[in-house]
Formats: sequence, structure tokens, C-alpha cells
Amino acid sequence: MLNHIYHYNTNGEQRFFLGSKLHPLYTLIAMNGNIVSHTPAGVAGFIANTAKPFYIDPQTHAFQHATSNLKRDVSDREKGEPPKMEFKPSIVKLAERLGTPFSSVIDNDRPLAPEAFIEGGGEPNAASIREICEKAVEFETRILLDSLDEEAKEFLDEKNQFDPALVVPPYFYLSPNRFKDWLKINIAAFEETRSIERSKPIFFPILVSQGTLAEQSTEIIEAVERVAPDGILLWIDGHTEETLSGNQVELFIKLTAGLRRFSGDVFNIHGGFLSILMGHNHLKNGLTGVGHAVNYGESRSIIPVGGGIPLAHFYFPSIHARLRFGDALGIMLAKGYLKSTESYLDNVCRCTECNELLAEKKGSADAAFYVYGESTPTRVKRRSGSVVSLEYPTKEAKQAASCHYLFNKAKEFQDVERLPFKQLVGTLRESYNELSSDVGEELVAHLNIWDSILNELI
Amino acid sequence: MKREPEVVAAVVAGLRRRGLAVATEVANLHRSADVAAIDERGRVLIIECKVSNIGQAIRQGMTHKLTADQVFIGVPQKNIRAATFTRIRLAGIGLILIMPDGSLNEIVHADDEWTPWGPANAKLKERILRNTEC
Repeated sequence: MLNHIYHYNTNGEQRFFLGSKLHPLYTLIAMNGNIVSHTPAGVAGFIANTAKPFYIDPQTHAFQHATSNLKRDVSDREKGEPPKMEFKPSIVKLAERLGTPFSSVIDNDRPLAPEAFIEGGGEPNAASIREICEKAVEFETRILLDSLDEEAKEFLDEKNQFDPALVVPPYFYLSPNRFKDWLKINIAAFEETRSIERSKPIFFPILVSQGTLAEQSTEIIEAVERVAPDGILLWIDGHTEETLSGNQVELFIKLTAGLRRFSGDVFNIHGGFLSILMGHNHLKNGLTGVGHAVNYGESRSIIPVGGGIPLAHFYFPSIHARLRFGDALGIMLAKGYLKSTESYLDNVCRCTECNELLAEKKGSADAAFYVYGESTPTRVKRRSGSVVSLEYPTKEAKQAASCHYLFNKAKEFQDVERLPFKQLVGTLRESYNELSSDVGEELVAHLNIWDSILNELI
Repeated sequence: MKREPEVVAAVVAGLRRRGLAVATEVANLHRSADVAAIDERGRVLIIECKVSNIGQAIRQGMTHKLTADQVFIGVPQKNIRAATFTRIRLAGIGLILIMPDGSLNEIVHADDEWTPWGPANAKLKERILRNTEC
């Protein structure tokens, strides 16, 4: 079965993981190390409520980037104060938990270089690798348990529900500039972690840019063959599937197949419908897990590390992409999908959220769809002093758009389990033909590209 | 006239002289409309003001067309290439030149043969009236 991974990025997102309608939609939770280290007791309570398998990403790569990526501006813009950057409290906590040399990044305000782990001869220093691996394993396997008070511990089941489903070794971004050094360090950290933690699956993280992937995929696959991990966590920097060229899609498929030959699992931790299709059992060496966050996170840039306010987008099921509300509305009006309830249900979406909104709005597709676009204007003062008015989605619109997104994602995973690969690929062409003449290429070109490449795999 | 705020000021003044209810920086479909107005027939007009980058204004205008009755681009008087005129016309957007004396010269008529989306059009009117009163 294809693992459906949800990224848990803020405590405010808990409601999307719980409840009788949403809880059954996913199989595995990916927790960011900074949020876990910042609020361990709150996260432990959340994990207890979900009773789902999870893993903790120690986010060690965060400390190799320019430290500005780990900071936030705490100045008062309204008073016109100059920017005042401070390390994010959650990053400081994470560094404390992971120990040196990560805490030194905060103390010295300087990022890590490979030299922090490599000896004069160019090989990883066994002692420093051992130290960071022990700390990472302790952090991932103990932090939630240690956050509980003694009384709470008494009520723990025999099977510790705070035990992660897999362990992630310390890892670093395979930057184009120091690719070989970072790869050596990642391999050493993986092997050391495997020797420390023998009872859980150890996953090998691969964090890489598209450019490096194009040039070094053979070397990456050889490294995976050498370490033969239980699984792989793949994260390609800014890998937005809707914007990939045909060559990039082919490269992605080849890489996945190459990795899978030497690894029981390959999770693309930030992926969209293309990745989900690549988890179809028709493909011999496909993905075994795909992750995203709550209405965002199908692609993610490596920096900045966390942060940012995701705007509400409407997930357009037949396009398999999140669209700005205005773009989605443009398609609806051009195609007449809002003319009736039937037209909306037949052409746009039949998810639980859409059906409930249609019922609530007494069958008015206009009124139901408008719920997704409800917004309030906010005046934002720029550093230049000018003021612009932008619309931010209301709480209700964000809630509706997120539930609609999650229901549709779950359906995509279900479709991959129950429908033939050929049929699913065929729907890409159908949607492209249906929409491209009316709405233009820009929003649907990816359907044509995916169809042409995936057709060769049928 | 070299800065967008000057273009905005000229457009606002010109529309007010015609007796329209005018507001600036009005939120619309997660974008901000530089100038939005309600004319004597109760129709909503949006004017994106630019001194350069008309292509961006066309893209913004396409979004505004979903909710406004007419959409224009406002630019200071200058020579405009034929290809740009064609793109503006094909998008169904109007073009207003701001003349050196501050008057407005509508040289491309904005399409008004479609019905904007009701729920968002009503919200836009409400926001224009609220901002106008301020």
C-alpha cells in the first residue's frame, strides 16, 4: 500500500489530523524537529490522540545554510524600526537538543561546513559522527516520552505509542559545491545510526537540488546500493511537479526506479499527483510513500527553513493542482461549471466538503464555491512606506479549502490502489483536452507532459 | 509622471471629476486593485496603474475581469507598441492614457459584454463604497 504522509508543521493544524472524517485519510505523520523540540508535551498529546505512526525529522541540514534562514525579524514595522533579526526560538531549542556542533551555529552565528565532520585525510571523523548520531537517535526516540509526567507514563500501553515508526539519521543537503563531502558525511551518519539503533527501520535521507540530481544521480544511486537502507526519504529542492519539463519528469522516474532497486521503501516526502501515480503497483520500482502538508507542501524549497504563511488555494481535482482562487474561478466561469449543482458535481468535485457546502447553500453552486474564496482585506505596510491592500482568506475559507484538499488527496491515493494505471493516465489526457482550449496552456500543460511520459510506461 | 502613485492620483482625480465613487488599493480575489470605482450605472470599474510593465498589468487585469464590469490599464501618455495594443485588446481590457494636463484619454475601449461573477462583484462594490466613505 502507498503510504500517505502528512507533514505536521504547526500546532494549529491539529484539527486536520483528527476527527472521524479526516483521521482515516492518511497513514503516517512527519514531524519537524523544531516544532517537536519547541513544544514536546503538546506534540506528545497530539500523537496520543491520533494513534498513528510518525517519524521525527531532525532537520540537521538547517544548520548548514546561511544563518539568516534560521532567523526572524522581531522589529516593529508599524513603528518603522529597522529589521532586527533573531534566531527562531524553535531552532534554538532544536540546536540545544542536538548538541554540538549544531548549538555552535547559534553561538557563533556561522553555518556548518563539511569540515565540522571531516578529518585532514578527507574522511568523516568517526567520533564527531558518532556524537551527532547518538544525539539524533536520543532526540527522535526519547523526546516525546520524556515530555510526559510520571502519572502519564503509568498509563502508557505496552507498545509505546511514542516510539517513532522509523529513525532519520543526521543528514545534510547535497549542495552542488560540496556534493562529495556531504554525501560521504551522510553515508557515515547513516551507517553509524544503524549501528546505534537496531530495533527500528533507518531511512536514508536524500536532500538534493534538481541540478545536482541531473548530474549526480548515478553517484546517489551507487551510494544507496552501498548502504542498502530500509527506506529513503527523498526531498528534491523546489520540485514542483506541475512545472517540470518532460526531461525532468523522465529523470525523476529513472531516479526513483534506481533508488527502489536497493531500498525497501522510497518516500517522496514532498510530492503531488505525479508522485502518487508513481506509487501505482503497475510500476515495478515505484514510490512507496508520498507526503504533503495541509493544503500545501507538495513541493518545498530547502530554504528558508520553515515559516511563511501558506495562502488558501483551491485544489482543482481534474488538474491535480492547487490554483489561486481567481484562476479556479476563471475556469469555472469559462466552462459554466457553476451553472448548476449537477454541473459542479460532474465537472469539479464530489468530495465530502463540496457536498456539505452545496447542501448548506441549498444547492447554489455559486454560493458554495464562494465559501472557498471568502476573504478579508488587510492593509499591509511595506518597508518602503507604501500601503497595499491584500486579501487574506477567512478562517472558514481556509478550513473549507484544506478539508476539500485533504479529501481529494485521499481520493487520489485510493484511485491509485483500485484503478488500472492505464485508466488513470488516460484521465490526464481527457482533462487536458477538456480544459486547454478554454483556459489556455498555462494551468494545464503539466497534464500533457505527464501523459506523454507516463504513457510509455503502460 | 514617473511613479505609479502619481498615475494613481491622476486617475482618481479624473474619475472623481466625472462624479464616480472612487477607492484605491481595493482587495479583490487575493490581489489589490490600484483604483476601483462605481460609475453612474452602478457598474464596477478597475484601473491598474503602471509606468512600465504593461504585461504584468494585463495579467492582473485578467483576474479583475472576473469580478469587475470593466477593467482598464492606466499609463502616462507615451508611445505604445502595436503588439502591446493587440495584447490589451485581445484581453478585453481598456487603455487609458493620462495626458500632461491630467485629463484621462480612453484610447482602447474596455470590453463590457460579459457578466462578472455575482458574489465577488457585490463584495467589490461593498468595499469600494466603504473605502470611499473613509
